[in-house]
Amino acid sequence: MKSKYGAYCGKIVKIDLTTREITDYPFSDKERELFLGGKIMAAKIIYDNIKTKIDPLSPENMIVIATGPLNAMGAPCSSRFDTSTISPLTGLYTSSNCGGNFGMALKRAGYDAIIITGKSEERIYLSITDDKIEFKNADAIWGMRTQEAQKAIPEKGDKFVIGPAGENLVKYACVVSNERAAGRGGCGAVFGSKNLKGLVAYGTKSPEAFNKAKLDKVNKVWTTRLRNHPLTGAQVPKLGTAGLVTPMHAKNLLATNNYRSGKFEHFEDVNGETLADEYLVRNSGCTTCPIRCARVVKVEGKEVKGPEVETVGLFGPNILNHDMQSILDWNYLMDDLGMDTISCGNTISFAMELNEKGMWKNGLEFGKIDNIEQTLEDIAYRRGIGDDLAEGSRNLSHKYGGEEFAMNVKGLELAAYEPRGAVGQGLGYAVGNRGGCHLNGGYLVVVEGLGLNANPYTTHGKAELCITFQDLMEAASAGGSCLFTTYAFFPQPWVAKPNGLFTKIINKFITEVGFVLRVVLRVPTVLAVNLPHMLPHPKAIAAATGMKYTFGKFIRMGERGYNLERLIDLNLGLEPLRDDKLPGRLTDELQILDNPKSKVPLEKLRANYYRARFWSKDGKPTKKLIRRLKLEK
Amino acid sequence: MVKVKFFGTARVLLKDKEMEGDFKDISAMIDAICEKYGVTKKDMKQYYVYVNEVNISTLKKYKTELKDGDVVYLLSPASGG
Repeated sequence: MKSKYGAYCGKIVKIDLTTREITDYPFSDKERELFLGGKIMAAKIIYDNIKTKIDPLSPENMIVIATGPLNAMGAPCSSRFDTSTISPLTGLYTSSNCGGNFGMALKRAGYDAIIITGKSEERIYLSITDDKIEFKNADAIWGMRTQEAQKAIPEKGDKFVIGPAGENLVKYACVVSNERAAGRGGCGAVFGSKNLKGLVAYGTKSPEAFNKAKLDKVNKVWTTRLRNHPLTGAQVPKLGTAGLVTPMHAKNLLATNNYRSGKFEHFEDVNGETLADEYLVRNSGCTTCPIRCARVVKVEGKEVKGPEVETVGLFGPNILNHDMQSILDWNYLMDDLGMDTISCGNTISFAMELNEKGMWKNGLEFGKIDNIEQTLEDIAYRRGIGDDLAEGSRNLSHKYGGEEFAMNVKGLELAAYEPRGAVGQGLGYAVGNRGGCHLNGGYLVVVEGLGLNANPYTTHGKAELCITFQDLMEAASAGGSCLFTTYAFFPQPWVAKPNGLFTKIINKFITEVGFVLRVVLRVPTVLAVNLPHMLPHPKAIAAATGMKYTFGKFIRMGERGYNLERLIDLNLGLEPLRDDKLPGRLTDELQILDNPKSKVPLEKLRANYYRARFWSKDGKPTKKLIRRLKLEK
Repeated sequence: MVKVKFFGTARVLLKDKEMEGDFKDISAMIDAICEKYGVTKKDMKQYYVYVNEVNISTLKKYKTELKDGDVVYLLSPASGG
């Protein structure tokens, strides 16, 4: 269905692997206005097609790979695409955002999104070259790791493949493009369940912007802003995301010893500074990215992508390991095997504590690293203890016990931020639609201690801040932009002078403005403007597509996406009062014995959150809200 | 002797990991850093300051006294994902 809007290809196809039928999938311009692209477009498609609980590894499940309107439009940090499906780890909706060039290649081939359904009888990969989509036999590349498989696919274009972990249905298997991964939620296992090794895309088309001159101008200002901002122009490019390790330690946020502490004695051995000083070959970035957060390091003499903060945290402090080179080696190995480093690391630390407590004798011990490499291989090939570990921490806890220290929410393992040092982050983990995800949870740590220094323990305003950030990140992602672009939302003086009077006032009062945010969240269209200090995304979307996008409409679109995800989850069996919760360790045990505030007061935070979301007391969008968001069927 | 550790963009700016010295308070420590590394006090305002892992905003700020054995961190605001 062709679109009147710029930046879109106007084509979504549905590929049925069982019947090998390829059909156009209708998606109207009205739907483009409401659901924009990326994960929100994908959520709409999945909401319309999957109505009840399904087995995520059955042919009934679908994969939606969706681009955003800003992909291939020259906007900074806007080459991201989303892979959405029903997660084998959680049984709920998951959407995994990936960098690299595959999304842009898909768009240049002429597709806003592709929908993959059914199950192929033989092992295949999909070759997409402009209008031609072919089913290619994958016997020769089945079994290959992700880097080798990408090289072995002979067709020209960008590749997106699974490794042995996906083939063997490891519940947290990912899909890899170049060295970037659609990491969370087990998309790779869904590929494997469909006998789909991957895709290759190549295109010769150039989607056109509605107003290229205006878009170029917006992009130029946006790029300058990112380059000049203290976070996106200095801290992240110089130190990568691992630059967070030190402030996380200082603020009791660094998950250590399976989340028994927020500080790690040897944090200096594994922080971003050490990574930059001793291991960094150079930094790199995705196409059109001025931030360039990626680290290039050496593993066995080869230049490869270095680890992010999550991998460093979960394979460093959280298993009491302070050997940086081992983390670099395992990070590369996991990418090559095709599995999510967050869920994998977290599951291993849980197994270590089970072993320590005598609940499952498995040979894994905190601080012992000589058996980790073999364990990672065993997980990917489901050998020995690896077969249990491949199921994730929630399933392990069902088998061996220890639910209170299995650090997951709804089955998705937590990231490396210890939320008892930032209770708003704890709220985000608990209510996140895809489970214990730091980003889907609103990433409030950036306000509660890492970027700003607001009170990390108060419950005031946290629900409203969490919702605002969730909706903004949801909307940025739908446009095709990297979430890091939202950090430039913080005016430069707030972070350039952290001890200045103005910043102190912000830190003091940002948690007291919940009522203002609540008004804005109720009617975000009151922000029907695009002021210079607001995020540039809506301006870029407006110039690229021709839609009338303002900041208010942008945040409303993010809200629509977040509610849509919740509606999908409810269809799949989510029970919010049962499932929007944290492991007992985080709500019942003090992180710091002489600090009575150092645990997450979840009940109060969650009730505030449901209220501020305009959900019912049991965590469900009301009919009135569904109508207001134009989500009625 | 007080040990001052440089993290985040402080390490990038000062091109050093740490320094040691005897300083009466944080203000005197910042003067010493400016003199040693040729940076300005304005440059130093970009960083959070922690004494023995406590943010000086909860102590006496730049007048926080330092004693032998104290460890000070200079940290830049951070983000990531």
